[in-house]
Amino acid sequence: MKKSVKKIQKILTILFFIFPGLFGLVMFKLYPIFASLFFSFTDYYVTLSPKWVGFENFKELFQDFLFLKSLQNTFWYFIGLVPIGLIVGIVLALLLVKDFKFISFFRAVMYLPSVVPIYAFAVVALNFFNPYLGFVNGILAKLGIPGPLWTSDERLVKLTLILIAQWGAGQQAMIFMAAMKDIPKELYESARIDGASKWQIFNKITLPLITPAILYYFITSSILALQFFELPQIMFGGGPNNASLSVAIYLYRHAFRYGNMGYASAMAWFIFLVSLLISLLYFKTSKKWVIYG
Amino acid sequence: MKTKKEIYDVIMRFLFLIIVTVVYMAPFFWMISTSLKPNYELYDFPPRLMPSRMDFSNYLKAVQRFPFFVYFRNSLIITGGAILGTLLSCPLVAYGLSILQWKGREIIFFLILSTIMLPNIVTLIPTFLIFRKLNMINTFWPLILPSFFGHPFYIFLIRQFLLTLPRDLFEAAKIDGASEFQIYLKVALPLIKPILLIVALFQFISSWNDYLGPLIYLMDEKKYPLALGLPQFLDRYGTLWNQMMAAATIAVIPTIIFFIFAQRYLLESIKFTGLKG
Amino acid sequence: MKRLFGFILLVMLIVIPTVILGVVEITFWHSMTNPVDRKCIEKIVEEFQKTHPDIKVKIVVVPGSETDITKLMTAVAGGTGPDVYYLDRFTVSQRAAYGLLEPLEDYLIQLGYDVEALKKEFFDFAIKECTWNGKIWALPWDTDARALYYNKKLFKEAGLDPNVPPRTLKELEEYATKLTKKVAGRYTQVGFIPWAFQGWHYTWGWVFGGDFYDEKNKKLVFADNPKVIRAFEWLGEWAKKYNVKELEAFMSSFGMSFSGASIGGAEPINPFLAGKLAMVVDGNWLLAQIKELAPKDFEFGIAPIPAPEDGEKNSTWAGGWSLVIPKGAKYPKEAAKFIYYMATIGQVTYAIDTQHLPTLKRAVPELLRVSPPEQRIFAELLPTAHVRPVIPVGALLWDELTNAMHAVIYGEKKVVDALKEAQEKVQKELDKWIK
Repeated sequence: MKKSVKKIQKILTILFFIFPGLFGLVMFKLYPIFASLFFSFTDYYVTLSPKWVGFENFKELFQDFLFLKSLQNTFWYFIGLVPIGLIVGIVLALLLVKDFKFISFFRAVMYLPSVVPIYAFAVVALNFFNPYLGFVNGILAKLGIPGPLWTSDERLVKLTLILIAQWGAGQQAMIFMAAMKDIPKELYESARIDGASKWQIFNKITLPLITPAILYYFITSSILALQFFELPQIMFGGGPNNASLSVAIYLYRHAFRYGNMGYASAMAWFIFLVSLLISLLYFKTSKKWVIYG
Repeated sequence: MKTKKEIYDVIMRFLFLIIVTVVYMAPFFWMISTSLKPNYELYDFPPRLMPSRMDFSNYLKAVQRFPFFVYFRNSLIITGGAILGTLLSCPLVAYGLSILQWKGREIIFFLILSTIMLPNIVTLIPTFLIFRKLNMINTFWPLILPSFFGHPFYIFLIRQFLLTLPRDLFEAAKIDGASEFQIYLKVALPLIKPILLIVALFQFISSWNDYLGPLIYLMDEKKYPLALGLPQFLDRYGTLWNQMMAAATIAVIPTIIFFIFAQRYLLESIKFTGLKG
Repeated sequence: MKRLFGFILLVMLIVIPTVILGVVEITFWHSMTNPVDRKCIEKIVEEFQKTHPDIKVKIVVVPGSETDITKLMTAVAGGTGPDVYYLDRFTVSQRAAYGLLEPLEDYLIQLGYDVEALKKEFFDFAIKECTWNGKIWALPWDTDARALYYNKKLFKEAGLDPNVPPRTLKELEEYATKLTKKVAGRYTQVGFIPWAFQGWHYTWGWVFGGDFYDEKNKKLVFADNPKVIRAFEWLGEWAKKYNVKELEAFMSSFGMSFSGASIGGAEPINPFLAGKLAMVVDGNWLLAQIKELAPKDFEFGIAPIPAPEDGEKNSTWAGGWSLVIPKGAKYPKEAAKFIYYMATIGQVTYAIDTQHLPTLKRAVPELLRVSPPEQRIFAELLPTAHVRPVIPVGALLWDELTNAMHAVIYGEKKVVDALKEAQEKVQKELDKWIK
């Protein structure tokens, strides 16, 4: 008797805690997600009734040169944004985690670009990478390297965008800092006493103990990279010559510019499945390198 | 007495900080510089770093372009509501998915996380229909209510930090006869205060800058937040960048204040150690 | 006494709600965030409400770009759309085909207007864009046109007569050479870039005398049209002669590129206004930009776009706005009444106050009375202006033509191939809509 009462109690407790998440899932997410799955098998011009086309959309997708291009671009965004963001984030965190005078000011500065409206941000970025007047090419010139066309060369815009995105690295730096602060000081002290080098301390103490935060960063930044939209859209409109076109931009174009929500949904579900796969992979392999407490 | 190595360390650190500061402050600096330029200097080439004279009238003109302070107030309401909802729901759900041990919790967690993997453009209209059924169109509710049910990323983040907390703390509390909720309130939450602040900050920025949500749910100009105000400066007949940046500068100030406040608190709450290990 | 009081109360309770119920409130969404345009629209609405006391108009300003109608689509799908919407005229046929609009013509007829006579009050091209499947779904609002702008000061410096703009394509090419300066292998001043700003595929296709769409047979014809092909070839030749990469470098120093960078569609710096690009094809809106933002010593002139010998002189094409009733509007009849008023009486006021080009013929002389002399050129070009093909896949066609143009400019594809691919792709979509 007692055992089953305890069991019910346990279930109720669990439900109590996860109830908001479950309710939100069922109430606000279930219908839209399955609706979009349905739409991906239709030609759906929103104000006309959807017309069933089976796998046509998916077949067309893989013959659609622009979709394939956007897929390629998105792949590069993924490869670039995730690791580079990790490195910049950790470097910034290491730089700013120690408390000393005026550190608040510097932390605020690091976070500032994330807060600035994207229009202001975009113009500064364009000026920064100006081939004749910009900061970046100015420095390259001092090093004797001819500055490339960061914002108009098809082969470079993605890289430029990835670099520009690092202005937002303050977000992950904050998380890494919080994780670093949780590391007990004694560990560092004893390591120092043992004469460990800075790199060893970082590698053997800091890095392993912030792996939970790193896992978070990997998964969320991957999902966001696969849906990269605002920067390339506002700054380049997907160009030049579709060099910065991401799947998200192309999707949006089909949904609202050409009006076919069905085709757009097919694209969205493709991204969805890829994200699912990647996240599953991250989780499965995480047991090998993530250290909790 | 600082050793040579330590002095070298400090100098290098400072050097890096200066570089980072210059690079990261640039957007903000440009914003302010542009906001003070008179119209005829906007297209100067090469572009001027500093305006020839400080034209503060741009600020005045900017807040007259649309009902600035009404929009500002709306932004505050929406953002405040969303932060409240997030802080109430996300830690709760995260706790249930990390501290509590039960079969299937990984599946539920993954399910919740997966909802963010579908680009929201294609769920825009069905979601709109749901709020239509709830009669919430043209109110702030579609922008605030969902945060009361948790955001997958924030739940994930808090979960990661909860998982690093030592188990014995919770066992001890249980033995002392505390209920799970009490443990949640008295043990877990205080230990993850920094991360809660970060979540609040993220939610602040997300709501403050949200464009699409307010765009499709609000049908009354009096309800628009600031995010719908800035694009109003873009004009084929002549975008007045200076006024736009003036508006943007004013819009950024609350976020900065929030950040400085949150940051100070972060510093203080991390002062105590000896908790782990 | 009580009875009398009660009686009066009863009467009031019946009369007042009837009076109130008799007043209909329609919602009108527009995206004119410019203070001048906005005030003018408010003014016209005021006038309308005075002369139509039974209709109230609630204006809602909607931020957003011309073809981005996320907000409208979502609202109509959810049944919460407005009664009147300010729509990019070029997309009327697309939105009509997609069931996003109410058939305006039906309501106008119900209200007793002589629709055929009404249509004649507007320029042909404008009415054409508002028509789909034999009826009109919108009334045209304002419009725009393109011409050649040139920098008089730079002309003088290059030894050219500032009052003699290039008239032929050959002159354009010669002037451009004279106006281009290179220092240490990079352009410090460029005479002309044909595809910058409003030098679109459509622009040059028509300047060269070509054709894009066969209305009768509902077939796209640009890929086989020799003049369009010639226009694209000319663009490719220009790109080769001046080296498209160096032109890109030049443009990107203004924070823009002709196929990429610009901020949400707006230029951070306009090279023409900065005095570095000597000639440019742009719309009449540049006049307003010059007035507001040009440096104090800026001198400019306007001329029709130069054409080749066998091309079209004084060629231009027009875009602009229109007024429509979205599907599911609560008060379509009142909306139609309002649209009629706006597009006719209102448009005259609008032309005068904002100096935008009207599509209403009788508003043009009013505009010219108050606007600067430069505006005259645009007004004169209007009667023969082209419009983009009126098809439900207009946006797709535009994007595909742009892709083709860029492929040619960057030397990636041969003109014939690029055009053919674009035509096939769009025709396939178009055929889905032609039943």
